[in-house]
Amino acid sequence: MKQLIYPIVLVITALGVGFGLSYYSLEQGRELTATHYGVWSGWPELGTAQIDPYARAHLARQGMLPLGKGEGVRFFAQRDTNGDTLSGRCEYSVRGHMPNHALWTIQVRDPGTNQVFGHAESGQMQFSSDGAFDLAIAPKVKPGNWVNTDRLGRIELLLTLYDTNAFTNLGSEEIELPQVQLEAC
Amino acid sequence: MARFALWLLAGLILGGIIHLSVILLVPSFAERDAWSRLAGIAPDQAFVALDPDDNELGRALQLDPALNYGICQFDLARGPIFIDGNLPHSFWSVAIAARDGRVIYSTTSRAGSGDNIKIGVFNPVQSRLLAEEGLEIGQGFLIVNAPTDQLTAIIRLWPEHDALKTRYDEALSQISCTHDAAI
Repeated sequence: MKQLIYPIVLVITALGVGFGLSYYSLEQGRELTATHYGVWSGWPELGTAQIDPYARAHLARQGMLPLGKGEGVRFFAQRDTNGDTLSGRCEYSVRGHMPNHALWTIQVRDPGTNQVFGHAESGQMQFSSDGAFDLAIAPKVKPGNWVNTDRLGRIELLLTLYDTNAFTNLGSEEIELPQVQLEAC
Repeated sequence: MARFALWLLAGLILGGIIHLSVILLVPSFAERDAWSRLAGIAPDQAFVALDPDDNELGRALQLDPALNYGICQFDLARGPIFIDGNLPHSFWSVAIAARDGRVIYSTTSRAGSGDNIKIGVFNPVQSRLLAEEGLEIGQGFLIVNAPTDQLTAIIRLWPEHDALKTRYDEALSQISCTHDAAI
């Protein structure tokens, strides 16, 4: 009987580690292999032939339409600059400059279902004289640029920069993407 | 105790091998990937504009609601494919993606080729034949060499105003994506 225990331990460990780690990597492990820019994380190599196996598996599992690196780069934010989870019941300010681009969009969506509740796009934004913008993400109407969160629970921001070459250059890890600051809750 | 640790270590190593195999094999066996979802929608040899009101498709493919999308799926085993048409004067991008999500080729409206797209997609054998026959290739015609046969062409188009969305969807449907074309 004792001789059977060791093979059982081996099989349980192998299956647990093998499939458990794979499930975690595919469902929750986006943060592990992504590149981080402040609160934003993403895979600038996602649409290229250099795409890493984890990102490729994540892409296949998620089923999202691929975006070529020459077309654009996507970033996600689930936390504000204080490190707290984003909530649709709170008011946030997305403020700063975007790296060079032809167009950018920010979507507010449910991180579980990917349902998009609202979005903003650069072509319809008001900018200050130095090119900076201030976008309110809030459940109540705000003057200026505003996306309604409709008092939802957890939210996620999805930023897509179309036709940007900012992330192909050496030193692109120094790029600063806009801050996501909590204004009121 | 040492024997138990040895078996545990072997289990961990085997677990690592299983993990790497799963990660490498998921793209080949995923049934919910973009290719499989589009297979039922995309007609043969034509671009189709994705329905912006189809919430389920939008969520599954994680479409950007600010854009219009045109999709054409094809298999180079049946011959090279030719994409030809005019796009509205706005921001657009074209990508040729393999089934596993790798983007083989992409360009945008800022690349300087105007608003007319002419792309020929060939697999390695077809590319070699093309070179051997020494065909003269028309001006502005882009040749894309694809390492795999099953591909999706994706056009993203940005309407400056919501009122343009319907017109832009019609423009996307007019773009040809066929096996028969003169270069």
